[in-house]
Amino acid sequence: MDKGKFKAALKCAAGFAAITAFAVGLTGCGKSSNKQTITFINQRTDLKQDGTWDKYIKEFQKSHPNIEVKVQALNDYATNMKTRMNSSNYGDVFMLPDSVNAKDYSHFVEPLGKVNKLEKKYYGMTAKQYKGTVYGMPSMINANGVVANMEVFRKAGYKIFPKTPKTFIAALKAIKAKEKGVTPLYTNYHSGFALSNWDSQTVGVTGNPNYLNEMMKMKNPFAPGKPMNSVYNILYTACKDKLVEGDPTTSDWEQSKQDMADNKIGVMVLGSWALEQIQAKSKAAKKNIQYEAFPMTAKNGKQYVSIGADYSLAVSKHSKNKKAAKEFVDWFVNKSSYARDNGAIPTLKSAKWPAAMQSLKAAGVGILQNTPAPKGEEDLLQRVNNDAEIGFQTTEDYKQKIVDAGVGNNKESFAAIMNEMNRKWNKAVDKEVK
Amino acid sequence: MQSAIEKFKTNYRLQRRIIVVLFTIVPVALLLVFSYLPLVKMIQYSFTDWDGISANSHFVGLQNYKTVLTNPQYIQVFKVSLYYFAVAILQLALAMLLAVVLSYKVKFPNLWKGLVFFPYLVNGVAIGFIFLYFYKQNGTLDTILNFFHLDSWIKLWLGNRSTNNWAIAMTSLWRYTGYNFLLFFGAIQSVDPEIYEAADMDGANKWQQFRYIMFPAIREIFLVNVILSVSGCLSAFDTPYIMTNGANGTSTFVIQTINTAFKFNKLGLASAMAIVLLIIIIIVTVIQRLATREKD
Amino acid sequence: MNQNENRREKEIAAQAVDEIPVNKHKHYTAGQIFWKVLKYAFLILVSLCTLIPIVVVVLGSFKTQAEFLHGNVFALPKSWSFENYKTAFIDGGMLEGFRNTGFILIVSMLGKIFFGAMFAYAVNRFDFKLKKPIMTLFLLAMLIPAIASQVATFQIINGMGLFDTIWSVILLNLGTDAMSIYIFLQYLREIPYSLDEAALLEGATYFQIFRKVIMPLLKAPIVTIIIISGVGIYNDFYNPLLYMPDDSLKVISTALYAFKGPYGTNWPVILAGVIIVMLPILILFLTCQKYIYNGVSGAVK
Repeated sequence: MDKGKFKAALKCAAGFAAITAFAVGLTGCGKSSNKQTITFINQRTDLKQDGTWDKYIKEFQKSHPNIEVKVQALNDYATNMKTRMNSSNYGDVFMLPDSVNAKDYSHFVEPLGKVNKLEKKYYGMTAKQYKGTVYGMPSMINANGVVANMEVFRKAGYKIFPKTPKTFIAALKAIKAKEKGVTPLYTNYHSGFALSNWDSQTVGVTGNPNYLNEMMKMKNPFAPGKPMNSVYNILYTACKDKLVEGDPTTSDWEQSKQDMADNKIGVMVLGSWALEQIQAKSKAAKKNIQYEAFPMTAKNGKQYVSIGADYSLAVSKHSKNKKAAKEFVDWFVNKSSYARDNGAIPTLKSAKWPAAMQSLKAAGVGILQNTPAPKGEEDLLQRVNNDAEIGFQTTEDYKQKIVDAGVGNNKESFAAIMNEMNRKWNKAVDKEVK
Repeated sequence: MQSAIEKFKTNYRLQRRIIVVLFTIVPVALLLVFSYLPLVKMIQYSFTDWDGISANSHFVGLQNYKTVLTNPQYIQVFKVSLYYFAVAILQLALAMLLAVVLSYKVKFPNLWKGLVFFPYLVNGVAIGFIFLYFYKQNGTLDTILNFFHLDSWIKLWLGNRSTNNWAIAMTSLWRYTGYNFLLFFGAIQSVDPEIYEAADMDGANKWQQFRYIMFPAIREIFLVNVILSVSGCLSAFDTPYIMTNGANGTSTFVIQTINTAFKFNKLGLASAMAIVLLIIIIIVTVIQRLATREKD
Repeated sequence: MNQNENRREKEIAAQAVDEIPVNKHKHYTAGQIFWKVLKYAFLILVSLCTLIPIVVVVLGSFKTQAEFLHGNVFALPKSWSFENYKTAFIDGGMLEGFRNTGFILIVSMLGKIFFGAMFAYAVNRFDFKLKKPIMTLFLLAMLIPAIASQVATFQIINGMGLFDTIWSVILLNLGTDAMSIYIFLQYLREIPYSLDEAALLEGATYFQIFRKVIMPLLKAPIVTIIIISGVGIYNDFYNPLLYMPDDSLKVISTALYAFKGPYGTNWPVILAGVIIVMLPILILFLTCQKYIYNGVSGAVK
């Protein structure tokens, strides 16, 4: 046997061990105390990373010194939590994923109160309710409109943001003609979450807070003349007339925020949470970037913006410290500065609205909240939507199809896509609506 | 006591039995628990309408399988696998060529080997990002083409449907060629160098050396890699998932399965899709094995 | 001992053989030159293809977020500052990540190597009833699309009480790997059975043969496995994220993606992190790769 070689291999193995083992050791053992510890699981990895969660927790502990809060922030949150909720290990307080069916809420989380009582004090009480009981408190409230760079629009001759699809497309064309190197409408095709914001315009453009409840039983909601057809048609037309980024398939969300702040993008369809982030990119952006209603008017000629819950906080059924967990949720919506820090509308009705939303209201835009689904139909929209597999408000797939058709990546016509969506929707309605 | 040990030492039949049981039980147990038990559970789910999270679900019989097999929407994505298959052949050939070239005398052998292998070290999510920059409009690739005055070749690599699946499959080649290379290279090295020397003296040329010495030595690992490539093409997932998420005609069967399970909350249906995929892969593998066996 | 001397003699002989071609090299034929040029042109081309995409990573890792978003990806950074590396390492908690990843890596690799070698030895050297079905099980296992069975796997891990422990990921690494067994089998086939027989004649038990004859000859596959499947474990992101979300169990890849948030991603820091993560394994590869050549051949004769 060759000892030299064997030694060399040992050396290699030792090197291997040394590289990794220098840090290996047992983690310190926990200390015992009377403190209650709760785990709070959420999707905001950015706040975990930059220490913001620690600051919130410190603030919380000023009034609740006996509750220790451990924060877990997860990438790929919805998928991960969905898998974890098959066990009892999903923390004490967590953001309730949308994949949970309303009728299953009581199986996973604690009831937090009655809708008719809580809605006097808070927004978004219909988001996570079942049979009049609230199971999740919104972490903050978002408006569903568009983020516009008014400097770009002004240069193209539009001092105020267009209010109709026709003037909107005309404005985009004017931007393209007059301003070189500016993308009139940026789709954010690749980031996924951005495109589903087009679906969130439904209630705003109809001015009908009950529209979703009607839509879930409606046949052909994407047919010409129906609001969603008009919304999608704007996206399609903008793509067809080359008023969007040159290569949507490689669009970059980080890049788009910077470009918009740099006056290189006219408008993006995004929830109001995005406003703060883009404004933060530059000093001029603070002034130029504004939040606007989607460029469509309701039948009465007025413009509306719907507001709805962001992720909602819920308390796990399996929590061993339910009281502490509920105290944390209560503190989060009533006392914490979370909504304010994110430029969002606070869940608490009595709290101050962000400036951007106030000016929207002052400009005469109506603010709408969805009407709760009728009793027993709380999860109907969800069921129809899952069944149809078109991902209305939940995924980007069909919106990407529309963009692809518009820019010419595929040969489907707009009408054909709408027909396909109608067909799938109708089939799901037939199955789910008795 | 002493004699018992002595007895054991010479009782080779007993030893053989103990070794066979002792040496195989742990890997087999681990395999059964972590690879096959999930499979059994998945088969169970595939007969239900479970959404993946709810406390209750209903038995639906073969309904999910019927949906998968009769709805062309689910099956047609398999044609995307053909792109991956074409590129996988290229990848195995390239890895083999590199392994052979670097097995012979060459200057700076470690440098070349390091360079060939190193893409495999790069973290997956970063690769999605790097190649988005590589293929985007005015990105890395376009810059290079401009430099060589090949502007007319420029396309929207990921936008254009005639190139996007090739572009993604080539990313996969970039990432995994080093992996195949290392397996082949390692296997070639297991051959006694004296055999080559002898062959050299007998006047065998390099091709003959490859054909009669190298190839037989790496045959097993090569076949395993071919089988894995074919099954890998059918279940291609990670590279398109991080690059396009299946948009614009780049969706594969596994991406569709994941979407069905997590975006549309149909875990029962998704399980049926996974089982169908597994059955297809098994059929293809069996055909492959039979085909390679006949040639011998 | 005897073998050792034998070996040395052979090495000397081999060197002598090596020297003969050196003399030959002095008069290349046109054909040889052609192949030589072709060989190096090919190697250079392949190297360029692997390197070019990565240039973006290196350049990007030195830029600030704003600089990165404003300039061309190929533009040189304004200053070669290591700020992003510092941020990735300290704010990302990479030290803790390295500790956990290191533990997972060492235990998983030890397990893979010992169980894999033992299994391959038993399968390659002995015949037994269930051999064929067991081998089929291993081949089949490689074909199961694991991502699709995530929910089922999670329930099993959770049922065993392993959720949020480091062992969940380690056991998954061990239980879903069949490639290392194939690599061991490949090499075992090249070890002549006469070695076993010689040891048997000297009165060794099968256990002794495995430990003293076979194991030392498996260095090459061990290094191959360490590198090939080590990289997979090292870069694994989804399993640690799902199965061990606790802060104290953070691994390097989850530490890295702490900079990728739902509303914003700090790419320059991630790119710096990618390089930090890549360096140790690249060094390991460069130092260990030479042992891959020393296959069974060296020690067998």
